[in-house]
Amino acid sequence: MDVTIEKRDDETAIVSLTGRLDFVTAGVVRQRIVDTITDGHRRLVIDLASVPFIDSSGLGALIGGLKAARSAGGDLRIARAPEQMKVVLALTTLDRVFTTYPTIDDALSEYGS
Amino acid sequence: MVPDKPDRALTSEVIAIPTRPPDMGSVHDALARFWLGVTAHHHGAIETRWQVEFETAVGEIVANVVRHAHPPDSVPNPVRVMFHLFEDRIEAHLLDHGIPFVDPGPRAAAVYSIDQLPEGGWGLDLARGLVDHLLYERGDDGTNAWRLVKHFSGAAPEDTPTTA
Repeated sequence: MDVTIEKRDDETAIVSLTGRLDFVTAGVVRQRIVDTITDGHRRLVIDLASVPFIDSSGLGALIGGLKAARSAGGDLRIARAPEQMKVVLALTTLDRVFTTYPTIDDALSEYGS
Repeated sequence: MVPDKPDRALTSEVIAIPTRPPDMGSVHDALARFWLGVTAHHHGAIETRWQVEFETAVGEIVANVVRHAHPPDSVPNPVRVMFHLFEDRIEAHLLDHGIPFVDPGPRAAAVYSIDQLPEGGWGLDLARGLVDHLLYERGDDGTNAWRLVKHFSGAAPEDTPTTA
């Protein structure tokens, strides 16, 4: 799993993930997201375009990131979620919790960037 | 109705994966080979979402076995993973000799307060919702046997899903 963090301004960052987000990689991803928020970038866009598979542990990493972002007064938004991710979100009803966007720009525009 | 124990599969894929470090890549590679076999032997279209649902359920149960039946202080022991195609369904079987599975029961009603949202514990409910049957048996010889069954469209079971 590769994690790339692009900081757009003092508060906004794009976290791009490449690889499977599962119980093997979820801990590292969660920590990178929380570290980014602790660093002041509390408005995050998670780009999942290159994540072919996510399991419930991966979902847990995103939940942890969402909670950390909201606690810091920001948010965590998902962009370019693959079909498999949408299936997981719908079945867990977490599609009511996460805001998903078709493109990174759409997610950023909601932040007013 | 839960199908009888499998007789003769049209095609199968069988692998053994180590639990430390867990080799999920091999599971996904085996699934990719299995889908090629399914495409070659099954007469009828298979929707991508249907495949995704099965793969997701398999991933959850493999993760459950590796994490809970084979904790870090246990003796390393491979997990045998099998995928089978039958006329009306596909099945995944997992066999291991780890700690017995204890069903935690269904997750409580969904909580939508972000502060109270749990980060774990979604896997079994997720898997149950993605296949028609999710079965678990502990053998007298200490074998944990998981069986996931998913019917092709139009061959759905008539009763409610039977779960582990």
